[in-house]
Amino acid sequence: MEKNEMIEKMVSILASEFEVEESVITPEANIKETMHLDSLSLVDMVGMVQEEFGVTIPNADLPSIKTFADLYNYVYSRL
Amino acid sequence: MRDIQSLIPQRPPILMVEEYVFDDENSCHSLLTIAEDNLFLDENHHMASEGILEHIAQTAAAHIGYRRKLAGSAVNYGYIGDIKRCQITEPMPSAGEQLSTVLHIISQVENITMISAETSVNGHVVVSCRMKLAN
Repeated sequence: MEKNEMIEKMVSILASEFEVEESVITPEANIKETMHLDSLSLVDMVGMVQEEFGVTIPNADLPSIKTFADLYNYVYSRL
Repeated sequence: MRDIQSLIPQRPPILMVEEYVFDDENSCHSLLTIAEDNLFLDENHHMASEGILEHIAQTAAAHIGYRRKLAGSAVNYGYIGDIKRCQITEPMPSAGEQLSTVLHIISQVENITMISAETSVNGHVVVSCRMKLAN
């Protein structure tokens, strides 16, 4: 899967799952603030990445994933 | 594993798991034969869907507790965070029938665990859902 293809798929799923406009999901945007994630909903994002892309995000890696660009890079490097 | 009471706080008559089986780190299955005096039976002796959701939640709690035991940690108690994508297929089971649940952990962030589960009776799925538990 090409990186652009992965990003398009991820943006579409995130927008649908977390009920935000795709336009607010920009590479530099903060994930938690943009999608209004709390500890209960963060597990949804991690689950989505696991199910849709087969990539597990361990707890220890979560602090380093702040922006959507961080998330894209993390997932793409593990596909 | 029949010593379910070492993994979850519920006790009869609210105990809704009879047998728990650890499959691997991320999956397990469980059984419950519905007793005549089960608290979740309605006036027609059919199990209420809430009873099956409670059975799933207790299965998940048992699995989380068992994993903690394997890791050498103390078993702690949790609560249901939310339930999504819940599908209930009637007719609901009756007293004497056996619930069979297969559960998978989808993801876990700190103390929040998201699971998917399917409960079947005689091979037919009666309830499926996703559930988040905090513990």
